[in-house]
Amino acid sequence: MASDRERRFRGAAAVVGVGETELYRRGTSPYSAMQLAAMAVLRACEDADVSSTAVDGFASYAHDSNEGLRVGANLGVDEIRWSTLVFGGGGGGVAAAVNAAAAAVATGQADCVAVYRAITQADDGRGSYVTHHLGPLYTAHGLFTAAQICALRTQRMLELDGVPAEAMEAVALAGYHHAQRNPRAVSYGQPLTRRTYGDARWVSSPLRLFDCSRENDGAAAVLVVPAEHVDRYRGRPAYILGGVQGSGPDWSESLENEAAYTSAGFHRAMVDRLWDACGVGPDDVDVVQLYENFTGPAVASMIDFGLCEPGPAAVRTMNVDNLVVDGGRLPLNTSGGNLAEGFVHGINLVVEAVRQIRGGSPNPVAEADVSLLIGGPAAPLVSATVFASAPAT
Amino acid sequence: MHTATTTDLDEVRRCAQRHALSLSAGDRQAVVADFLPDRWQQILASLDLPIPVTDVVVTAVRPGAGFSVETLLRWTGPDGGARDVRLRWVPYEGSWRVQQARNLPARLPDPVFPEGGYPPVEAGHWVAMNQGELRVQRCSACRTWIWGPRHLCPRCRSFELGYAPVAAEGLIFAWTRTVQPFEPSMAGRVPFVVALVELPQAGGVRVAALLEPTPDAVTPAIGDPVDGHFVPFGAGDRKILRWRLSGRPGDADGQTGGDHDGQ
Repeated sequence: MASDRERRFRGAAAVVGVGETELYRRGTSPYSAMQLAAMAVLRACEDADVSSTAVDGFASYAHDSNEGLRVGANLGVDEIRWSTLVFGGGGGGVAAAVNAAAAAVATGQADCVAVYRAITQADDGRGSYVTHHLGPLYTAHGLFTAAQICALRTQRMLELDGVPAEAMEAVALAGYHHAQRNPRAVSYGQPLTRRTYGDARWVSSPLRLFDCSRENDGAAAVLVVPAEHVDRYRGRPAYILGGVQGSGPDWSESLENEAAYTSAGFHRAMVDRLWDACGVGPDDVDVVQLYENFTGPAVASMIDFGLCEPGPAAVRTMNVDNLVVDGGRLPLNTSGGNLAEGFVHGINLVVEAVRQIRGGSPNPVAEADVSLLIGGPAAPLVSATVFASAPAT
Repeated sequence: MHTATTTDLDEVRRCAQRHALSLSAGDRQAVVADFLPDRWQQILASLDLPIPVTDVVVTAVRPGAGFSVETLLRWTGPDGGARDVRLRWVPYEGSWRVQQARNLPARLPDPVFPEGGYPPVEAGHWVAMNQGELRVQRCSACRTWIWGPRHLCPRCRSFELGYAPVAAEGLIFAWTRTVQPFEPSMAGRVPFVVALVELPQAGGVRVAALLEPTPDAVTPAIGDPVDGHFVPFGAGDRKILRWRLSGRPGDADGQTGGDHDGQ
């Protein structure tokens, strides 16, 4: 049962604007990360039809190098009332940043918070998504990348839990399918066939090329405001029904000693808390934006959330026919996701989760009322947010 | 099982000889055109080669796994230093392309430490490692084994933590075969397998390290027993743990092609 506090939070905040920059091949952005961050906020303000000077809060995650106060200063906002950066590297903080912004506006600490993430290789280097997380206990033994860590976990999920590799393939194929209707997507015009997926070069087994997200230069932002203000902004609001972030038990920063090793990190209590707080369950979810740094942990997330059967039966849900907007029961990554649209640490998934409610998705799900955002699987921190067409369901 | 025909071997020998000429002439475009188009960058980055190259000769042509044919090439540099490279050619659009290339003998990556070495909390582990001993953090008060290293015991909150020796023996908990050379130091040292190993004698904590033998021909399985040994590196005064599949002889020559489908 949801507590009074959770019920008060339910639908107390909403997203009223989204903004994205172009997605550049890594290292090729003509703009700095700070410029991209500001550009994304400006576009979100345009979408909401509000002056950018009215943005009074900033939230980001994962060591974003563009501090909120500096973004505000560059934008020349009237006043900054609130800002935060979510602890924990990796894309696990993406939904947590949205939740933090919602909490801030719901409690009157700010009126219009920009949640953003901006990356350029020139400013942030390669692999900015794992900054500070792979020390010598990894690198002395050949482990340099999140790909290898996620490969270890995926191997055990396949070999021991019996999850079929086809479930991973379905994540990749669904993303690429949807990206073909998204001209912004890096893989627009490059459909992925089952054969190309299966013949691709190995990265780190059991992950091949198309199991791995790329890195792009780019930025995106959304504007989070209190629900009672939504009429001041243009367009349909996407209400935030609730959200969770967290780690554990025995999960975070454990050097591959996490207790539920083949889980994505969304433990049972956290998932139950999300559904309780939101007043919806897995069967109510109309569309999912699933953070797929790599396809294996993405499948693990779906299992954690009860959206997909564990073990060999996972493919009953995780098959491409079921995951595409054209006739699928649970459309997934409808703008292409990290794999096929482009990777700016998952922030584009927030935009798309909102668009499924607000409008503007390249692959709109008819009458979508509940849109789930799942952040950063297998990261030290994981998080999720539920967006909805109405403040309570 | 399919094996290459005499005609296949003749065709690939001609391809390899042409490839060697392109290499010697420094014709990059022709060299790249001999690789499968979706992985020429991965293949080039995965090799350790003399620069510049003064001579390349084909030293062997033989059937490989499945439809493939393997060739051995010897690269020579200006200092006379030679590198042997095994190329695996596969049929592609009416001709042959290189799907995989390996330096021989196979070598595993050297340990890489970040600038500044290791954090102080890990010192007990690394000092012992350099002396050829595996030590894992253990709470002096409640005797709980702790991994990765913590600053206090998460079970009893004691601040008295130490590093206790543990037999380097365990069972594979998870593993991955890395093919992509993520770091420049991995050139000539891919693929390699990292095994995450559960130590029954240390409360089941899991310790990751490279797995021997070198991986082209071996596929480990979760639950396989392994034991550890300590290999010198750097100036020879330091050592690093490597896991070894128990009961399998150290086959480190990498001469045989594996069945790993281009890994």
